[in-house]
Amino acid sequence: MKNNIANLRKERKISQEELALAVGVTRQTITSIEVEKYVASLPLAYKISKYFNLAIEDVFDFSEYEHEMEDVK
Amino acid sequence: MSNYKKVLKVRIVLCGILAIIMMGLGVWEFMLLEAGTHNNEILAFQLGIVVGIVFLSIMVLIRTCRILRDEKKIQEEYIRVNDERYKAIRGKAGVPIILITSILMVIAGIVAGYFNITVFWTLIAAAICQMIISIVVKTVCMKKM
Repeated sequence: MKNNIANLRKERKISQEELALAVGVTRQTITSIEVEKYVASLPLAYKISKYFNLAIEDVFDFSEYEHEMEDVK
Repeated sequence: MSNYKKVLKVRIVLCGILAIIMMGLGVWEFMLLEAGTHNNEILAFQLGIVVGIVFLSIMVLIRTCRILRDEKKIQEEYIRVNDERYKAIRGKAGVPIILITSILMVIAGIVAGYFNITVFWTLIAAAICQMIISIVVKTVCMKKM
């Protein structure tokens, strides 16, 4: 799933390690999420968004799922 | 975090007990092997397993003691064990069910070996293949996820 976690980290000068520690996962998980290899669970996505003080939609890109819903309609 | 410290302390005690029991079993099996009264192939295999378990138990015990000395290491270990991506990878690799079935197959092989050596080697080979497949799947998932 697309996301702008890497950009948000760079803007606020936060390392992957710091973010990982804050949300209770390993640095490798943060890396996998940033390169879109791993899709974060809802609780993890919420924790990450809360850490950046943003809404989940501002951190993760749900547009592909919106297109899927339109296709189903 | 205090609950996890308790888990680590229990792990140390269990590893210690396991190492002592396996050392005793190893000494007994070594004596049986020397006496030559039982199937040497099976006994030698059992002795190898026992030595491996003793070695692993001591390694885990030492590692857990080192972790318990440092608060930061406890936190890192807790995060590593509870990491959701790591849990998902373990799930895909069939851990711990594959490990449990492999251990049961080894035990069954050892028991069956006293009656039929072919069954013994077949079960051991199957258990090893199972564990290798699990390791390969885990490695692939760690790269892909």
